Amino acid sequence: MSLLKTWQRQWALKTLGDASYRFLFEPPPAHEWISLDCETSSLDPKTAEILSIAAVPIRGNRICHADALHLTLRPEHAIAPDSIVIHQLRQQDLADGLHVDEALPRLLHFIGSRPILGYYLEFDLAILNRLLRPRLGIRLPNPAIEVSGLYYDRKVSAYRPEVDLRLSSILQDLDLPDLPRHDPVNDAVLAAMIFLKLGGADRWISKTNAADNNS
Amino acid sequence: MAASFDFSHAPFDCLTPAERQQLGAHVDIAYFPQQSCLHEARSPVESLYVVIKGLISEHDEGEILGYYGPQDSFDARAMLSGQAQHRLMAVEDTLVFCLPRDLVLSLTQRNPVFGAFFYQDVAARFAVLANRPLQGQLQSMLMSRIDTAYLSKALWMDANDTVLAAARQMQKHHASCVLIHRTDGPAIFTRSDLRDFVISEQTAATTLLGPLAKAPLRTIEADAFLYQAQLLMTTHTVQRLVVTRQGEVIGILEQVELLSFLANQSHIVLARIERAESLDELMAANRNMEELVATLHRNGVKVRQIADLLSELRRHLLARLFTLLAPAEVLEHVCLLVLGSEGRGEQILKTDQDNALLIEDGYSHPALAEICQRFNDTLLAFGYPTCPGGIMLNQPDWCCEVSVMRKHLLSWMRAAHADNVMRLAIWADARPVAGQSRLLDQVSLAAMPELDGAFLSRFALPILQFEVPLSMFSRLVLGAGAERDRLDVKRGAIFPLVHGVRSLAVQAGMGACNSFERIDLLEAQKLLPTPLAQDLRETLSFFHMLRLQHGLNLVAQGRAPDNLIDPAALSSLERDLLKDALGVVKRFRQLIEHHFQLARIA
Repeated sequence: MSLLKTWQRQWALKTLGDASYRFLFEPPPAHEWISLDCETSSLDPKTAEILSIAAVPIRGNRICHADALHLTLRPEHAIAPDSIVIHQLRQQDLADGLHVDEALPRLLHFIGSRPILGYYLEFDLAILNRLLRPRLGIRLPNPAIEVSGLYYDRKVSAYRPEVDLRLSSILQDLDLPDLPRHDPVNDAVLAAMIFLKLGGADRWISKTNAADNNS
Repeated sequence: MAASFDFSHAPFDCLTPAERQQLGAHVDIAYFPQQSCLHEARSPVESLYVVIKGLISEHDEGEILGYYGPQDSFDARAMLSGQAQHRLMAVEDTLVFCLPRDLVLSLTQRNPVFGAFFYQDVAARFAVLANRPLQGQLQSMLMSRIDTAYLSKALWMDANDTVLAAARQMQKHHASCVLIHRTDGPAIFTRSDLRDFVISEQTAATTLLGPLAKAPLRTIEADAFLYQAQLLMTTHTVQRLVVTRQGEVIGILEQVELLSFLANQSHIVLARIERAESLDELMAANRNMEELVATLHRNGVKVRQIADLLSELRRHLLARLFTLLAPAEVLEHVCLLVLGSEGRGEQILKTDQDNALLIEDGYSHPALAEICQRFNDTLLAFGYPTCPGGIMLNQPDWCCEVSVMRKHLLSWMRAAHADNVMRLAIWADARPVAGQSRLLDQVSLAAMPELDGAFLSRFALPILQFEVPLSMFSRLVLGAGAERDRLDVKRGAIFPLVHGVRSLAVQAGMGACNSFERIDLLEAQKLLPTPLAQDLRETLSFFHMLRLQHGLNLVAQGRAPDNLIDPAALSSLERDLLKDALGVVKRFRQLIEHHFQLARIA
C-alpha cells in the first residue's frame, strides 16, 4: 500500500466518529466484492435522496443473488416526478421504508471492508458519502471499482478513442443477458456480470497481490 | 426480489407460483470464462445449474459426453448424489444460474412431476414420463390391469366327473368352461369341447371328463395388462385365459369381456386376417392395421406394446398371404422367415420387406419360384417397399435349401466384411412365420459352430460405424449453418443398441430375436448388469417412440416415414431425455467395444 493511502486510512481512522465502525478498515475477506446500486430521488448528488439500495455480494466467480441486501428508504422530501418514471418508486411505495439512520448501519455492516463495484458508482458513492460524513465523520474507505472504467480500459485504443459506455451497449458487446432495469438488485447483478466477464476478479487479485509484495 | 430466473422451461414450468417464488429467492449467478472448469469429476456439487448464456461441455476421460446450452439444466445426477460424475467445462464464456441443491431436492419431494425430471435413474425417469399420458383422461382400457376387468369364477371339477355334470355346472353358472383337477396338473373343458363331444355321439352321463379336458392351461398373472391378455389370445387363438395370482387360479378372463373393452381393436384385425379368403380381403385387413397403430398410439399405449401387437399381426398377415398363395403341400417342406427388424418384432410402421424362404434339402416344387415372386409383388402392392438389399423371397440367395443356406452363412462368416456382417446380422434376427420352423433350427446363427472370438469381434464391429450424435447439440446450440442438423435415430441410436444386444445374444447362443427379450435373457444370465439392462430397455423404447411419433407425423402429412428427427422440434423435456438416452447409447457402445476388443481390429 502506498504511503499516501496508508496515511489517508490512518487519518480516516482517527476521524472515525464511532469506534464500532472500525471493521470498515479491517482487511477484506479474500475474493469478495459488493456490487452496489441505488435508486435516487433526483440526479443531483448534492440533494438526491436514496430511495432504494441493493448490495449483491460476489464470492469468487459467483454472484450471490440469493444473499443480496435490498433496502427501501423513506425520503424526507418529495421525489422528482421525472425520476419516478425511471425507477417507478412513488412516495407511497416508500411509506414503509427505513429511515436513513436505520438503513446506513445495515448497509455498512453488510458491505464491511469489501471492495465496492458498480456502474457509474461515483454518483452513488457521492450520495452515500454525503450522508456518512455528518454521522461518522468519514467517507466510505472501501476501494471502489467502476465497471464502465474496466470496460473502457478493455476497449479503448488509439484507433478507437470513443467507447460507447451505455449500459445496454456494454451488455450487448459483452454478450451478457439484459435484465429488467432500474430494479437496484438487477442493476447490481448486471454490474457484477460485467465485472466478472471482464476478468475484474482476476485483475483485482493480481493487483492486490502485487501491491502486497511491494509493501 | 427480482424475478430474473426464467420459469417457462421444463422442468421449472411445473412448479407452483409459491414454489417459484421460493426458488427464485435463492438463485445465484455464476460466471465461467471460456475453458474454465465448473467442477472436476468426483468433486462435491452443491448446485443445480441452468445455463443463462454460453455453452458447457461434459467430459469423461477426455471424451465429450454432451453439451448444455441456454435453458438447459445440469447436472441432475450430480445434484442428486451431491457429487460430480463428470468434468464440466465452459466451452464459451458462460453465465449460469445456481439453484441450491437442498432446495431443489426438497422441491422434488413435494412436487412429483418436477421430481420425475430429476430421478437419478434414467430408466425411472423414462418410466414416469412414458406413463404420463396414461394418468390423464387418455387412459386406455388396454393398459388396465387384468384384475380390474370382469373375471368369471373358475369352476373346478374332478377328472372322474362326467361330461353331463360339467354341462350342468356350466349351465347353472352361465360359464363357458370348467377347470379339471388331473393328476398331471389342471386342465380345461370348454363349450367348444362340449360341442365336439356332442358331435362325437358318446353318452354324456357316462363319459368321464378327465381324458377330454385340455392341458396345459393358457394362464396370465392378474397384474399383467389387458393388452398382454389380448396378445396371448391372439398368439394362441384361444377364447379365454386362466388368470392366476402368484400361480394360484383366481378366475377366467373371457375374450368377450376383453372385446367389449377393445371393440374395433387388434383382435378384430386379426380375425379379418385369419378369415381372409382372397388377396383383396387381406389388403383390407392390412389397412386396418395402419389405423390400429394410430389409435393405440393416441390412446397412450406404450410403444413396445404396440410393436408387440403389430408384429404379431403382421406375422399373421404374412403367414396368411403365403398360405393363400402356396398349396398346403408346399408348406410341409418350407419355412417362411421374416428377418431384420420385422423378425425382431420391433417394426411398427411398415418399412422394407425383409423375408426369406428355407426349403427342405432335396424338395422342389414347379410353382415355387412363381409363388415367391407373387408373394413379394403382393406385399409391394400392400405398401411394403422392396428391400434395397435384395433380402426377399424372389432372390436366390434368400430362397434356398437348408444346406445351401448353411454354405452361404459359412462363406459370409469367413469373409466377414461389412456387407456380409450385415447379412449375418439380419439372419440372426430370423423368425419363422409359416411352414416348418425346424428348418431354421438347423441354420440359425446361434447354432453355427464357427462362432469364435475373432468372428464375434468382426460381427460386433459395425457398432462403431456411426458416431453417437451427441455433438449435434453443440451445433444446435451454436446455431451454426443454415441447415439444422437432424438426428438419424436409426443409425445413431437404435442400430448401436440393437446390434450390440444382438452381438451379445449371438455370443451367448440365444434363440430370442426380439431386442427386449434378448436384454431380459442377458440380464438373467448375468451377462448384462441389471441397471444397464434397465437403461437399455427404456432407452430403446424411447427411441422407438420418437421414431413412431415422427413416422406418424410424416404419414399424416402424406409423406413416407424416415428416421431423421429434428431435435429443435422436440420439447425441451424430450430433448433432455434424448440427451440422457444418447448418453446410454454411448456407454453401451463403449462396453461392447471393450467386450469384443474392437480396438484390436478397428
